[in-house]
Amino acid sequence: MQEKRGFWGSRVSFIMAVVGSAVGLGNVWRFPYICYENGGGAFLIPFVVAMLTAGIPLMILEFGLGHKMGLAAPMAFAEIRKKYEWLGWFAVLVGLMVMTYYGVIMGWCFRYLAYSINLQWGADPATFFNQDFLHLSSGIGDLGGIVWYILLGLFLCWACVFFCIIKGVDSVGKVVMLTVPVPVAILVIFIIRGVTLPGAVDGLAYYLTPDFSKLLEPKVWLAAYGQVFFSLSIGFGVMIAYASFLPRDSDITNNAVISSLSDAGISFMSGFAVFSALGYLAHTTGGSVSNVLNHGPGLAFVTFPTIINNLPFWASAFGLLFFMLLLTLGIDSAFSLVEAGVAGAIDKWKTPRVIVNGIVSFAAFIIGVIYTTNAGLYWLDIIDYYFTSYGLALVGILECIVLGYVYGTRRIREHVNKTSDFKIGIWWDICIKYITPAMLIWMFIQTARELISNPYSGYPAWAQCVGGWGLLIFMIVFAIVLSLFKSRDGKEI
Amino acid sequence: MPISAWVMLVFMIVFVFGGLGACIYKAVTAKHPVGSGDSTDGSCCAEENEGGV
Repeated sequence: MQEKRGFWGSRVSFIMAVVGSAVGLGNVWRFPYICYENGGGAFLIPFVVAMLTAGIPLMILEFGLGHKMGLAAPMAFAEIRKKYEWLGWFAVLVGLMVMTYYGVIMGWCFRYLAYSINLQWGADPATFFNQDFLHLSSGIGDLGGIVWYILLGLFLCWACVFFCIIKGVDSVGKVVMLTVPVPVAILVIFIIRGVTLPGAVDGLAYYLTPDFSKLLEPKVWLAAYGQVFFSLSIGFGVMIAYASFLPRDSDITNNAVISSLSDAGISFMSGFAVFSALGYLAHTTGGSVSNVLNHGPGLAFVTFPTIINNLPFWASAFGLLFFMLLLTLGIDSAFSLVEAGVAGAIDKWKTPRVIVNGIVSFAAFIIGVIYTTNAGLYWLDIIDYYFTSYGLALVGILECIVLGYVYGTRRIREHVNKTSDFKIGIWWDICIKYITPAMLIWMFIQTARELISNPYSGYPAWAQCVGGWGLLIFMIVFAIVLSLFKSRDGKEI
Repeated sequence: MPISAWVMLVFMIVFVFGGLGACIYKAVTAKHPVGSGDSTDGSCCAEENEGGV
């Protein structure tokens, strides 16, 4: 039987779900580092400009499209013109591909949660992570075997994702009431603990002291637009899917602003937790903050365990809290990426949710097995680079072109203004049609130029092809194939 | 911390938390609290989404 499309139980649950999706591991391990690398406190100026001219306008655009069409990304684009349906599928496939390795990182967190009890990573967390935990092989081609406990963590993550979205927005709305406030509360605990540690002020000075000369460097502005774009979960079809479940009289603009500012606020707060802790680590080791600075998985699984080792008391408790923070930050981003694909498939084929959810979760779990091998970290790195730098940017550029020029921003603007507290004007059209695509195209070209002159991380050409360009092209072809399948519009199963 | 760092801190707090506060205030005090989730019977989405692909 055809399932009825649900609706968010309340405005709060919708905003919580959007914030949960946008706020992920990147807020903790990417934003503070990008901020430090690009002028410290001065970076906050381009960040705010990017938020106002790209982040919030794109959020309004995706909310507006999903709400207007009442459909997830693939069929929302198909409503514009059938030939653009593939773009919706490509967006959700990029998201699902990201989710395949996101699940593994969460699997690591599950294991590290257990390690926290007795600080099992020992005195040298770097060696422990690479050798004892990942059993990292000599190169990307040397897959070695599957690490069973990482596979178990991956399975656990997918089981959580499966059950979180089992009833669509009904279950998501309930889960996010826990998974959004909890990491914020933990973050506050870490900030309070961090700023009361010796050396914290030095760390915060690294984070916030502005180097205004950096504002003259184009790469700093590019980094700000990149950070805003990647941080808000735009381009995965998540926001389109989530907004499609909004009641007709829902506010769009204010919801978009609240969600975007919440994401920015949590990123900013994370910087305090990270840099105060780094300041403490530099203080205890006698080095400088720049020497202990790290980002990405290195920050979470090497630097933070080192900091936790050095805490004067309750080290295990803070270890547990830290990996709980990562898990709760990650889980709502994870299931939102899956929900975007599941909702798209249900819209098209009217298949029962539990079947689509099961197929998508199982398929993505199987793909994720490659990251549980001894070469998993290399594959994770290469796929992450290509899908976030090129896949996501490509979706963003095409989305702006299709919605800005083919469909017309005016139609979405008029729809949004009908029910929103804040009315948007021509400035929004300018952001969507000119500023955002220009920045994304610039970003895309810059990254491609760097890649041509310098192969990413020195990986061999075959690996860059299989995990990078080849996989991206395969996803585009797969998206086109999915769009060519006939939909079961209106037919009951 | 240098004074410029404090200035950036205040700037960000005003932008993020001031902006958030203003938006939440507007949402709570709106005369017509749109998107309150009252119309969850499904009837609302029929008007514009007919016609199919």
